[in-house]
Amino acid sequence: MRTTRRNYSGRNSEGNVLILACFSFMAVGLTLIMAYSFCGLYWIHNRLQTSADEISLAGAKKLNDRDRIGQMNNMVARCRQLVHSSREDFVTTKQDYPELASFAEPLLDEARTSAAELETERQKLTQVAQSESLQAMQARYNDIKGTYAMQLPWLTIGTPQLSLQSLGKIDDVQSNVPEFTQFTKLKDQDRTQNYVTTSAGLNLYTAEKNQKLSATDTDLDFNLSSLPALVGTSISPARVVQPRSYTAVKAGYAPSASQVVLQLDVATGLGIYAGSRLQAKGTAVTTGASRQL
Amino acid sequence: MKFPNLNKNITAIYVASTIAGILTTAPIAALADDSGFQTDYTVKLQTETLQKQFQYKGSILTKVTKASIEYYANADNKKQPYENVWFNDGHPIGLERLAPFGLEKGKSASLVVTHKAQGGVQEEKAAASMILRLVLDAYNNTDSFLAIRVPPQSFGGIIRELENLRCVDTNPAQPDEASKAKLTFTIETDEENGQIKHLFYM
Repeated sequence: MRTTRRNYSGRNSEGNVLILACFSFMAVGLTLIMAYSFCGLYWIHNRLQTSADEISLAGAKKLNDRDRIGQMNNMVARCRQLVHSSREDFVTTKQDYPELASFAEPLLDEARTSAAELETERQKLTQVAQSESLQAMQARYNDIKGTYAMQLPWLTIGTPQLSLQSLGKIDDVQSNVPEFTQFTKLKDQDRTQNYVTTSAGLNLYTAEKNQKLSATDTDLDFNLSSLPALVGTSISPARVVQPRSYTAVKAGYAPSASQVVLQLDVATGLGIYAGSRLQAKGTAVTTGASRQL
Repeated sequence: MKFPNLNKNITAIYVASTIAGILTTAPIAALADDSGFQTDYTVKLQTETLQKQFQYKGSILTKVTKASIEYYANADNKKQPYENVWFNDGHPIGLERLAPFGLEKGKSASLVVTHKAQGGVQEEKAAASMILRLVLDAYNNTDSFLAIRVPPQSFGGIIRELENLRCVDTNPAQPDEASKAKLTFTIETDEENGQIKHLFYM
């Protein structure tokens, strides 16, 4: 006669399956919650990075708002040409037609006065651009920060903190002003003094260098700030860039890039406490120069 | 009623103006242009008010005007750009030389001022300042402007601005004054309007 295990042991094993199933479901559930938490952290970190990028971009856009830095760079370079030209005219007139020196001299004085006033205006613009850019970043941060805080049974998210906001430039970006070549003597001097940076067929005046004129007009300052140049008809758009390309700007020059660091406290809400501070760095460069009128 | 000295004065002014003109003028070639004078070259000065420049809080560069200069020999009408100059409230703030001053030495030219749109005070200021700079450029190149033709609506404004820039009208009571002038500016409108004015740099 055939006997079964069931009959032999005299026990019902169907209850074990139920217990096993319950434990399995619990394990799967716990794993899912943990996985969800980690996914949540990953998602939060991505969101934090996006927010940092957004804030830095808001600041960067404001820097060259309506091409103000591009226009100023161009006009400073043009003013330099004006002073040089007026000086040449005055020297020629004084030498060849001394009776008209009194006619040429006020024209030179006027050009020199314009150069001094333009430098003052450039400094003012630098301060305005910096101030407005920092304000724009702060305003964007204020918009964003309230959307983060969240408390779930398995995840707690704090409010992001703006731990750093700074203004600088992108490494190796010169001014947006192409070299003027009609005054041969001045052009040669500029090349000798490394006032012009040549690369890939685009000769641009070097940024963050006081491009003083020689001889009698050395008291005047001609400063150009770093700004992506117009290439053909293409304007470089404001965009997020790698943080490693960001560098500090020399004192007194207009910045063309912004950087922020956001920090966010997160913690698990179930079981043993586990918390961390997430950090994201956003860097953006401003809109490049437009076609100059 | 007689004005015995009036005709004499007018004649004296005319003679003095002519002498001053000759002093600052190279031989005139028999080439015609669209001004009342026959000149070798025409230099065109066009002014334009620029919008949307230096737009930021507290900007003082709010009255930017651009003057574009080109010239051509009346024999061939082939236009050559010379330079662009930017002004703010009538003061030059920038220059971009596009080519050397290509007028042959010792030639005569007429300067024709135009406005890209309606003109206005800022463009009149820029035009007046530019006239002085171009006259000096021409003088240093031993060329001379026989006449400066301006738009009728800007005639008075440009005269006023030139007077602000140290150019003077002569005093009819002292006709000899004009002959002492170092430079003479003959400002005129087109023939229809027929306005003309001589100003002098003493």
